[in-house]
Amino acid sequence: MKKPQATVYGGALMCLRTISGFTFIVVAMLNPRQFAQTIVLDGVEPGSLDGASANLVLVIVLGAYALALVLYLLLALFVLLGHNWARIVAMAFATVSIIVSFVRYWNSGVEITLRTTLLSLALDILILLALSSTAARVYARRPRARPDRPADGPADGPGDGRADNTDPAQIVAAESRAGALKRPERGGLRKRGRTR
Amino acid sequence: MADTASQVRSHVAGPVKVHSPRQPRSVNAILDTFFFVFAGVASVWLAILIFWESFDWGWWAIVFALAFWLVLAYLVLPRLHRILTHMYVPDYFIGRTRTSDGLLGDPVNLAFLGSGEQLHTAMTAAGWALADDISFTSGWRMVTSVISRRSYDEAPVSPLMLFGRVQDFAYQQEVEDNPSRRHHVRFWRCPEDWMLPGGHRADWLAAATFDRAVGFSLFTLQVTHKIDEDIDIERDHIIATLRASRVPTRVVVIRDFSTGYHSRNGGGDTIRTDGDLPVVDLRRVRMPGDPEPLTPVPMDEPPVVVRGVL
Repeated sequence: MKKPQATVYGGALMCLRTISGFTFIVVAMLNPRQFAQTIVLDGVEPGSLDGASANLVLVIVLGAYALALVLYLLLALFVLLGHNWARIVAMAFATVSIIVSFVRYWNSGVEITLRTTLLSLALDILILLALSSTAARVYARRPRARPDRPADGPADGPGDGRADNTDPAQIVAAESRAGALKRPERGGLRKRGRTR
Repeated sequence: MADTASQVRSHVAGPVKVHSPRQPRSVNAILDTFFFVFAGVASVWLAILIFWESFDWGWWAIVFALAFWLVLAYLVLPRLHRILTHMYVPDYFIGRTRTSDGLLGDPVNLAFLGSGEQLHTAMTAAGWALADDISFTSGWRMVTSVISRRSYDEAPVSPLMLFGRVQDFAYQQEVEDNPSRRHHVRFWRCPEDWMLPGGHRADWLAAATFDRAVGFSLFTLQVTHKIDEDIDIERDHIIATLRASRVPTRVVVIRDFSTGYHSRNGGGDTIRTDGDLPVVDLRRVRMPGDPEPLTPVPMDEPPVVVRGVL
């Protein structure tokens, strides 16, 4: 089954979000004092601490963020490889991030502009839109080749694109596709969420 | 599609439940539905944020207005239509195709009998060009040809859905070397042993419309082709080109297959039809290697008109 554009876009946007995160780290490392003054941990402002402990706090904060970004990049890789669990985790992460942004915007009146967090919020929403699309869902939930069979079946075989081997309607559709003159598929078979 | 299959089953084996007991709604499916709808809601918020942002940037507001339209037309409205049409548009055969957003698209107004090869042979002989698949390259070439008014004979056509899937292929004829005006027809292979309502047999169904200009879709605000209102002219044009070519065709017109109606297609353009469905029999089209027929094949038999089931 051909990888749909939605999955590629979703994965690419996740990579873009990682890049924006690393850019933030680099900027923070270049101006450590300025950055330290903007954060508050447990009511303690690292900006008011002495040099050595402030640096330690910075390294821990930025290190943890960098580690999270690396894990996120790995997740993007698994999404691109078409793993459904990775897609679900990525969507859950985007959802939580959007909800947190919205609550802060709604309750505390935190402004969301291009100069603050609009870009990362937009990325989260675009990632969620791409990965929740029907094409990305059908691709991530496609039937996989079992280990005892050749890893890659015929790309245009009748089982291709069929997300569920037991739904007679989909078998009919798949068989009729197999009989048709083949053209590369776009979007795959539309699945009916209601039946599963 | 699933509904059609279950109706068939219920006809032969008594009533069956639409939801098979072996397939309860999985956590996966519930999560998918939630994320699908939540993404739609979140995209509305994004559009609003971009709209407000445009006020802070002076002349750059034009860029934000463009971004706002892009988000609205290509993300928000398609997703909202997708959620709503999933609930209210029937997913079995009603003689209409559906757009990828689930909206009712061009009507099915032609049927064919014959193999895929015979169909390709006949359409090529009748002077039609196979449309390219939609891809980044073909899409870009389409956009540049429309803007520069350069000819693009095999321009791609947008995907429309029938039987729950995208068309198998499409044919088109450019008019006046201008890619924004063209005859075009999409083809879907019918499922095995599938019958038209009323019990007529068809191997292929097709939806033919004439693109008269490029404009904005009424429902999604996307840039799209606007179609000519009288879709029967396009249907009859295809029959005429096939009959004028040197391939043997037999046409049976199912009169009042659907009652005549007027409606709108997926881009919001009005459509009008008398509801007749011609079934074009191409089974006598000779392929290379086929034996010579014993009796000469009559080339231009008059169309047979039949009525739907009374």
